[in-house]
Amino acid sequence: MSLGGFLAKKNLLADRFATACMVLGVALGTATVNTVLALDVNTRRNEADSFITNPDIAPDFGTTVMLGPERSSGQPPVTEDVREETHEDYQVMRSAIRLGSLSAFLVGALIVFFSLAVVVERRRREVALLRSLGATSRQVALVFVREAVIVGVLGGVLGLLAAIPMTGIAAIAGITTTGRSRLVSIDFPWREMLAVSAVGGLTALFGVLPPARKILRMNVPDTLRPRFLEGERARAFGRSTSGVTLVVVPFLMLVYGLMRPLFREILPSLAFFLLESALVVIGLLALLLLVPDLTRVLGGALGRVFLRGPAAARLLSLARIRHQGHELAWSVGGVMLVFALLLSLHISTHALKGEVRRFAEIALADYAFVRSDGERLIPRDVVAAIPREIVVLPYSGRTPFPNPVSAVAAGDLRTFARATQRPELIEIAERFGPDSVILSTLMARRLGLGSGDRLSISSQTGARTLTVTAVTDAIGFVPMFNTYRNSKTYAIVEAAVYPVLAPFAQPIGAALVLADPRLAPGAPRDWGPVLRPLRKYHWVYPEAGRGYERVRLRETDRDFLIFDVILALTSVLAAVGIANQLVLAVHARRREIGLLRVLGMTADQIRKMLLLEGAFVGLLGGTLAVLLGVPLGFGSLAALKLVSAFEVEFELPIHYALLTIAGAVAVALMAALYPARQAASARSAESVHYE
Amino acid sequence: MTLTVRGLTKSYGLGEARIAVLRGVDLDVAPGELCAVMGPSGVGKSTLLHLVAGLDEPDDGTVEVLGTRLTGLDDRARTLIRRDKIGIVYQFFNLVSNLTALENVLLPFYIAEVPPDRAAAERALERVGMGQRAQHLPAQLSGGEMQLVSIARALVRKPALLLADEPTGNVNVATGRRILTLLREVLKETGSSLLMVTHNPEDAARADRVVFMRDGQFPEASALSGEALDVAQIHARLRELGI
Repeated sequence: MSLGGFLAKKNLLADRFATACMVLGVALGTATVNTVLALDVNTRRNEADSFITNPDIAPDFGTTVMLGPERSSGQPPVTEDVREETHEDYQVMRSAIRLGSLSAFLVGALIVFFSLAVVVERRRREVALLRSLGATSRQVALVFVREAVIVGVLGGVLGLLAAIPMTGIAAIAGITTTGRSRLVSIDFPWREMLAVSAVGGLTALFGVLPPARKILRMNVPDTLRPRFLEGERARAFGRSTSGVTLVVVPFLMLVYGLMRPLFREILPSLAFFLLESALVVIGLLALLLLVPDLTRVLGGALGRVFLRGPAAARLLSLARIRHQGHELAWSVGGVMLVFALLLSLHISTHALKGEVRRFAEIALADYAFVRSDGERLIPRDVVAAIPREIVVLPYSGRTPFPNPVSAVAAGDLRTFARATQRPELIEIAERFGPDSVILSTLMARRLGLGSGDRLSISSQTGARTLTVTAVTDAIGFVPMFNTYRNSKTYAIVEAAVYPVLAPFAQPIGAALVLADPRLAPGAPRDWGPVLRPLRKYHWVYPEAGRGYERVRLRETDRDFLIFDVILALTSVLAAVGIANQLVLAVHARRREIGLLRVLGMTADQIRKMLLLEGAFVGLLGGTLAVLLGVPLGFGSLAALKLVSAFEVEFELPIHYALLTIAGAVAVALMAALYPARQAASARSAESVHYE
Repeated sequence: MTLTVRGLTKSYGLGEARIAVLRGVDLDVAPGELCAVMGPSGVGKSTLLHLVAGLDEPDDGTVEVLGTRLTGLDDRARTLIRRDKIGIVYQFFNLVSNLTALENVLLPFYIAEVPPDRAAAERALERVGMGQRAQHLPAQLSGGEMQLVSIARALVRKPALLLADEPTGNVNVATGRRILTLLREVLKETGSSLLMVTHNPEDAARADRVVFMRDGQFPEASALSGEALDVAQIHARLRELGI
């Protein structure tokens, strides 16, 4: 049997906690990417049949009216491609999910790299001994390689197997990569998943190379020399940021900032988003290089202010941060990465919800809606059941997407506008007539039109050219069986134009909007008593605007649930990483801990010291996560604004920042429980005995 | 007596593989006395020190420090006694690498959760000749200097009993002599007692009494003290006992 065959298994078993963490790191990272991959492939398949959900199918203009935009200036309007406009949000979301899943992969790789660095470093003397006994460098290297292969294969296989139930559970929970429709069956892309697992496995091999290379070049006699101090081992992890990094990174950021408008100009939205995402990933990796120094500098300051507990534990923890802070940097970096992504995600979700809320205030809040299945008109007895004091605005059906147009009588619109008591709406309604058209903001954006421009509408029954009276979301919205985004894209014409729409849309009376003239704008209204009597037919849907808003907010949460799942898995990985780092540190410091016990520290004091260290990792990682997550969230929203039609506004609720830090501390503290228990139960008499 | 040990036994291992390390050890150490323990490797000298320090529990027998019985107490109670009444010096790994020399000496105050007596710590460092190195980290000190700092730390809270496991085992001859001189002076000044494990007959010759351990016991009438205590006598007794 070779030396590798003889030692690799024994070594892995001897370091079984680190081995388990490394296997878990590879497995969870791989499983996350495989799960997202399987969900994405199945989401695509599920959405393959319609041009509304499949970007590869050309929009069907044969089943709707034709629209012809004209600028009043005579210049051709800058229209947006329907296909890109319809899909860009989802394409961006899909790309973001893939990038998010890579964060799990990255944290998993960090655990493997760190563990191998520590484990290999810890074996310096053992390796020196092997060399002194006549083992060649190659023989020693093969021991490490064999260990890495075992870890990689185990992690890769587990990551492949774990993805199967994880995908199933996600599908049952309604999670997809677009949030648009549920998956009812799953086909696994085995070939791609095997490739991902292989790459996951290879991280172990990549991870072992740098420390192994370093250890093979060591000075054998020097390594075998007796040591007075355990601290001498630390040099392998010491890495100070060079001044070059500190200067080059901000310089490159400045250069990119100056060139950003140019890239925006020449690249399509999705390509621009991917470019910026790639730069963010590179930036994050660069930032990881700065973490060791930040841990020492910022950590020392934070520690002095926030670290509380037994005096000895505080003194020792602060000294450790001061002199060996770089050893904690791996854990701090992992926590920072995960919680910064979590924070930026929630900043984005918050902004999107803000968009829904703002839209609701304009288009939904004061109203109730009654709509049919699109095939039939609202029955007379339903209309008759509406109390007389409520003002009703009947719409025609909408022509199908991608050119949704509906008709409304100008007189009804004026009456309705007066009932709402909203001056801007009254003003628009007064100008509305048989030659005018009102565009929603998304429709105006797509057609490249504004007030005063012209729009021709045609079908086999005729053609009309109309003037854009207003661009607003304040009128004309009716909840649809469609994606939220598409249901906000519409045009409103006068009833006299309905004959042009007639081949594709139900007559006026297909949908009703209700307003209560007794209430001032924004006043709360319980629509329950009005709407309940209208539930006479299963194909008639009465709904309060506020109710629809709540549904949309829930859907926004559901759309982003997959990010939360990915980042929850990544948080687990970060916790594994912290536990692993602390356990390895406890092992490396066993003599120091033994000495402290000899000097009179109780097991409880030792436990508190380790917990304090865990809390510090969480506190610092969480603080850095806020510092990083806020600009990341700001950047995400800027990108979202650029590529999507949503008017998202950056806002940082202070409790998000506090929860980020609290969450990081909680995860780190939980991760520190086991190492703390292990340290407290170490037998001090044996620990302080000589080598 | 500062230290009273009676019938101390300790075994390690399980079943057939169980090895009796201590087989009924009796020992008294008087106030101010320096008692050296000699014996071959693996005979149980360090085990005796660990039991006296309350770091481990004996299978049988008793240990009393200043009249307080350690045996039978739980780990926490033994820890508190060790913290207040016992100072320990080892051959290796005596200092916390992240703390300066001064912080290492202050550590017992922090551990005891009492206000750190900086003046006392500085005096202790001065006493061992390390006052100029107070702000140095252990990695910046030589092995002998580290040992002196650890002695300062062991003395800073004026323990009644000092335990030293080969305190000069890893330092050069001159530093070893300096350490022994220092320890003798401190015992004289404070009235503390010292139980010192050593392999070095020269060190042992500077003790008040030398006890020899063989087969986990102190053979009767083997101890040397007073006029009879010199290097030649110690060598002779070691030969006599087959150590």
